[in-house]
Amino acid sequence: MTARAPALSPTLQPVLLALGFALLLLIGGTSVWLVAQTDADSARALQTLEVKEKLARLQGLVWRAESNQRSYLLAGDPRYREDVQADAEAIDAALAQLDDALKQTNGTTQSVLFAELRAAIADELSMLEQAAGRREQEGPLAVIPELLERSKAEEIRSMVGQLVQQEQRLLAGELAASSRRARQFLAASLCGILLIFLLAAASIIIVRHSIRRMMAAQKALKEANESLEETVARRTAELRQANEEIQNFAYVVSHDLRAPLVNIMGFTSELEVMRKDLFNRRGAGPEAALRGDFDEALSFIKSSIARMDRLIKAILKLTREGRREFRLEPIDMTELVGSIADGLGYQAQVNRASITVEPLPPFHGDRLALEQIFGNLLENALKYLRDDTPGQIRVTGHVVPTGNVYEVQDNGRGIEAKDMGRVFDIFRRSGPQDRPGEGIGLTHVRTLVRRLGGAIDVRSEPGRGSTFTVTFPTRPPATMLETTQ
Amino acid sequence: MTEHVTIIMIEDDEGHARLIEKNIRRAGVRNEIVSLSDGTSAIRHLFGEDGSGSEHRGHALLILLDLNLPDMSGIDILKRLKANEYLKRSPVVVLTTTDDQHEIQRCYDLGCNVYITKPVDYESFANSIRQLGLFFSVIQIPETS
Ligand SMILES: Nc1ncnc2c1ncn2[C@@H]1O[C@H](COP(=O)(O)OP(=O)(O)OP(=O)(O)O)[C@@H](O)[C@H]1O
Ligand SMILES: [Mg+2]
Repeated sequence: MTARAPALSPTLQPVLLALGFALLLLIGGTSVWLVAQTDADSARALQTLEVKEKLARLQGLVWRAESNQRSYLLAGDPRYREDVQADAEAIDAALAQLDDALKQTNGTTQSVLFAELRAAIADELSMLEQAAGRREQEGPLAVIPELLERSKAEEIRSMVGQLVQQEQRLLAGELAASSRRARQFLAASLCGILLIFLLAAASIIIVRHSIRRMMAAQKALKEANESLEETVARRTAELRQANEEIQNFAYVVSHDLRAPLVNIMGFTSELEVMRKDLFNRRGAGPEAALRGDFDEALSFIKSSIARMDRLIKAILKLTREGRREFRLEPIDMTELVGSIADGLGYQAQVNRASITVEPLPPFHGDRLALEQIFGNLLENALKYLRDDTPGQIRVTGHVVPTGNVYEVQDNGRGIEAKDMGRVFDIFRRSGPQDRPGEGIGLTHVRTLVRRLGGAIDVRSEPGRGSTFTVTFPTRPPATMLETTQ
Repeated sequence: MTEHVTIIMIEDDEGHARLIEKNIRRAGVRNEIVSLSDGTSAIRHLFGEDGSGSEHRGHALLILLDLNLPDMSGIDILKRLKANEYLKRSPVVVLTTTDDQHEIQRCYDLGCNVYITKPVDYESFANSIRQLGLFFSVIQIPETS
């Protein structure tokens, strides 16, 4: 089927159509021509008939003139003479008419014979005239034998016969040619009709072929659509599973890392106890320096362990958040953020900062997650204020067609452009490291926002302030609905 | 706690076992401590060869249990202890690194008496163990029936 496809491609269709039209035109033209030809042929036959009839009349007139003349010669009645003259005039008129008719049927070719006929008739008439003259002078009987002798009646008769025959032949020849042509045209038309049938058949095949292909394509599309949904569902499941595995992994790893840490810390502390016993007994001296080194080493070990513990705890907290099941409920965001701000009131007072919460659009989400999101953002806003400026923190919100937008804006120290993306990464911090923290707050926030189907972004002008924008879609993502139902 | 109470410590991490023992001793507890480092040997010791636990009849036991054992979960040991007619009244102290809320609830549901999370910070670690030791010295522990 595919091999035939290019030959029967639907682009051929217009060409076939044009060809069909051309053939139809040809056939139509042929029919018109045939009708015209038939008309012409019958007109031509009529003309021939006319010529024949005129020739017969001419013959009759000649005969009448001759017999009238003879009657005159025999009887000498002048009435017959008058008749002969009238006949001669009629013959002239008939000849002129015949000349016209012959010119119509065959142009010049017959004019020789016709001219001879004309001459013979003229001779005959003049002979009759002479004979009449002699009758008047010499009496009736003297003229007759001569008259009979010189008469061209027989010639005239044969010439008229020839003319009739010629005319008949001419007509027959022309009719034969015409019918030959008609047959040729008819044959051409028949071929055209056949071709049209072939073209129609080809068209039908092409149309059916392309319909079949279209239907196959439609079917394939439908199948693809169905399998696409399946694929998406499968991929989503795979992704979810992979995600769960990663979280599990992080959880187990961070968990198991704590056990050796307990030992390291425990025995370091035991060492510290032993050190006290050792160095106290020996007293002062060169050991004092050694004791200093010992203390330094121990304190480094201990602070490192403490930090490691904090990091592991942070990871644990994150993974635990990732595993927690969300409960979606309608939430008065103004109230939720307002109570977080109230909770931070003391801290704000210490930092000489004010927190303003404007009316916020309500949202359908997990209360705890939202508390943690805005709690972290507000804590950061308070923590990273500038020491020389009274802090102003504002929480605003509005509804857009796709969802809700909430913004936490401060006039603090800001974040440099190069750090804007990094601050959301785990353990990454920005600017001078003069505030306590591990750099997991924003990671946590981003994880929660994403689990709620939203997105978080930051705009900041270093030294002027930052704005964190949280966008939630109106409809929670399907994946989350599944886990919560 | 009277001298005849035996402390059975099921703990796979030797370091932890040592630290726990040290701190219990520091609290002035002189009782015998039997240290078992995996689930299988713990099961064998607790329930004996026949698995009935009758060997410990008439003894007073206090069990310190870690949940993360290499060969089985401490939860399973806890379940079996609480299901055993001789051992079900012996107090069980779960002492583990897991501070997962579900896990803690689960242990209490299964009849654990005390649940302690091992803190990395040694001060608090030592403190909790010592307090546990003090607690040992005041609690009454029934003999196995
Ligand atoms: N409102 C803000 N203004 C200026 N810098 C900020 C602001 N919020 C966050 N940052 C920068 O982003 C970094 C990461 O913030 P994040 O909340 O993740 O961690 P942290 O506050 O340092 O520690 P913690 O884990 O205690 O929250 C911060 O160290 C700070 O440099
Ligand atoms: Mg923070």
